[in-house]
Amino acid sequence: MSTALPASAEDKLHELITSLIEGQATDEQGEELSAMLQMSPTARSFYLAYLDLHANLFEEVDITEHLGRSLAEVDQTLTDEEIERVLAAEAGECVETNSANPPAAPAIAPSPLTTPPREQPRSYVYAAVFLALVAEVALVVFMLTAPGEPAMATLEQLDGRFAAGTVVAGDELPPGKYDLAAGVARVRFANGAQVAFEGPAQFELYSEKRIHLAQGKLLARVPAAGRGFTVETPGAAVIDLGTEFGVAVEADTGTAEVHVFEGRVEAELTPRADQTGAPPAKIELAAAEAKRIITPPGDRTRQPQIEDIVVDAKQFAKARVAEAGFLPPAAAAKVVQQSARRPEVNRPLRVAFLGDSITTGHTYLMLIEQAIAAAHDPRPQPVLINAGGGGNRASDMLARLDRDVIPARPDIVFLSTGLNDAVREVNDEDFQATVAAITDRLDQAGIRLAIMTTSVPAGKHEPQLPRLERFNEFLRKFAHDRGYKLADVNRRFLELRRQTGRSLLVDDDFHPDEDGQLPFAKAVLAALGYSDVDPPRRARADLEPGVIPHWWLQPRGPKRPPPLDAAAVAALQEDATWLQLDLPQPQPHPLWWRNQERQRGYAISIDGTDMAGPRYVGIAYVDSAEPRTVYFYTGGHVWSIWLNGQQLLSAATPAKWQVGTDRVKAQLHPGRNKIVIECGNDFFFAVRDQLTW
Amino acid sequence: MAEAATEQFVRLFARHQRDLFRYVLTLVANVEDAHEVLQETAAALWRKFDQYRPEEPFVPWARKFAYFEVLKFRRRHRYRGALLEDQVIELLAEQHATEADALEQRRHALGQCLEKLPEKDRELIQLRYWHDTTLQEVSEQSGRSVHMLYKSLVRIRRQLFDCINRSLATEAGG
Repeated sequence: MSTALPASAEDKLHELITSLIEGQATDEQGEELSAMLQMSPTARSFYLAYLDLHANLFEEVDITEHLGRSLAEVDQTLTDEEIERVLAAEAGECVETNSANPPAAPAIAPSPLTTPPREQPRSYVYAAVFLALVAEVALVVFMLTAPGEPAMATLEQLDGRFAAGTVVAGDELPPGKYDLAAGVARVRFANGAQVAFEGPAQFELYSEKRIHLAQGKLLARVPAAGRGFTVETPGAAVIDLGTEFGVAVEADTGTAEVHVFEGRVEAELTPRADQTGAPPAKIELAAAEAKRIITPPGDRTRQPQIEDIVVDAKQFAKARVAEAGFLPPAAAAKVVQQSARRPEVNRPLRVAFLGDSITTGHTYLMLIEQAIAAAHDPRPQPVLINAGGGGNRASDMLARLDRDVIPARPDIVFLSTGLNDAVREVNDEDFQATVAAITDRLDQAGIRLAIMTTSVPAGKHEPQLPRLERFNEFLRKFAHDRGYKLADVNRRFLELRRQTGRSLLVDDDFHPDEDGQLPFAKAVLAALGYSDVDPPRRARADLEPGVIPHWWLQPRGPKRPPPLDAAAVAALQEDATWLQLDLPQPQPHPLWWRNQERQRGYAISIDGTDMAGPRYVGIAYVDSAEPRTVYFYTGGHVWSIWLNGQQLLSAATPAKWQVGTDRVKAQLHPGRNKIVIECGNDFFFAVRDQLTW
Repeated sequence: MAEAATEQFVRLFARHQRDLFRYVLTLVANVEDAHEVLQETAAALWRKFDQYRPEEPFVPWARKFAYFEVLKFRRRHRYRGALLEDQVIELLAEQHATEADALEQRRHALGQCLEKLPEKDRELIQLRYWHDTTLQEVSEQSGRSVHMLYKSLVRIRRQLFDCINRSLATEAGG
């Protein structure tokens, strides 16, 4: 701002603008602010700068990355003898409760206390790509319903299977989302409508009159009593006017096809009246007509495009057979066999860890993995899935369940929460309700649970310790009452602390240090049934597969440089002035955790400091003998990815810390491929042939 | 052909949506409203994309549509969205065009200013902005009164605002 405002005017503007953006301004304040802005260009500058700050804060995320900043090492390590003694002392004990079949938890509606925090959309467009990737492995049935609602729909016939296998023929289907992994399911609605779904299909039942088809095919036959039965698709709501019709929705694009076999339907195109003020555009289809409804990419509420197509009954043949209700058993078996996966024999246990930054830091997971690998146990090595999130409270974890946990198809989830809830002063009722909501959701998805208690911070966090203790007490009792396994990290942590006389924390007084990871590993091993397996003293940090070994980097100057565009990327050419980076970085980092991540192949502290540092643009090359589909796995701070001049990822927020936060599908061409990324002072980037979890 | 246009549009919009979001929020003040306007803007841009000439910078072209959508939104929601008068919105939009560079500089200074905040203050900013939580929700979760939170938020935002002013003044001076 060139001209300064008088201090009193500044104060007034602060006050008025604040009321405005917090939604608390009165009409009088609106008039006052209007008057000031109308009179003075300087006031307008002030207003623009303030609102721009407000907007920027919605995008600023560096502040949330706890790990990159505050993990530092305390020069306190235990002697081997001390550790051995402690571990020996606790050998054999473990608290296990029967978890084979937790009692059916009452289904609950989402608690108003635990409104999940919304995250910024990463991108209107790339979100679609991300969802498509998730959809490849998503296998989930979850239902949210209030008890006592009348049956609005009944599963009459199932010649296939729902993903989580919790629904059988004859069951009432409450409102909620369903994922038909394979085969055909016939559902009768209370108003008489009969719908056959053909898998793979994902759909949601809202009421007896309204459903949503996100992916897959359905064939609907609606009697007069059910007139008005509506199938929502991304581009249009298909409304029955007394008919038989089929709807097919493509998974990737949301493009829908509507085929009318008898009678008429109406398709009401989105966006609807409440969004535009104009009446919704409608098209009507008569018998033997069909239309394709194409939603523009990036935003599924925009006006779709309509194409005429030829009606095709064959497309719905399987569903029609089911709908007619005479599917012979042999044919049913064939349908299932064609598309269902074979049951895996003796497959490894999949174990997910839903936690905070301590989980994200990955150390105790490595200890567990390495302990089991060294134990020559006859059971197959479990697959450990890191679903940690820096700074997470239980409510943050609840919000991430459907994105980070359930699609990973774990057999069992270890829930590690309470620390951030305590230091951020979440009240007891909210904490308890949120933990219950998480566990209910996992129960409904047919996933087993183990509850972890917490380590104990110190120093400035001490005022919150009584609260933390209450949380831990609750977690123990909750696990016991619900029949979940308990991994009592807290008890082991305090015991080790008492025996060694050390805090077991790094110098932020919050995160466990290297020795402080051992109680986590021990408690989890015991809960998994490996109570006789000792973790190694120190985790061995192996290089992650697919890390690109050589990068050229150039700082991009200020903290928030403008995003790269295609022209800028095309012009990028590394030369001698660029920084060259070899991964894994050969120099050890003085702080153990950062050193561990270096050994795993993260680029750590590129500018020599542990601060967020400048942003960089990085160039690397990957050779391929043939055209090849690969997945780019990112972690740490990666904002965008360009492959051979094409942008593949543009994230409003960088990846979370752990490997594979973003998994971006890419096509390598034969010969040399040029990868350009925008990254921060710490990043992870690997190229893998397969999507693994 | 249509596919190429789609792809081009998707890329351009993805790359510049943050700029457009900031612009729209500046004019409508409320973040939910800004998202709604941005959606409508995206729809409008897509409809008119055949008129876009690639040699023309995308953001100024797109801002015109965004401005138009802001006006339409204000007409639709006169009961809630229109605390500021129409003339003022027009003046602000005009002035925004001339101050885009200055705002860009301020944006660069923000990161350092955030880092200077004490942990507790950063946390509140994080709750309010990154998690997009309302003060009412923060209050329920933290047990602090809405009034206290409100005062803290105002103080912190003002600190950031002043810090940015200072750092720009320093740069200009040096």
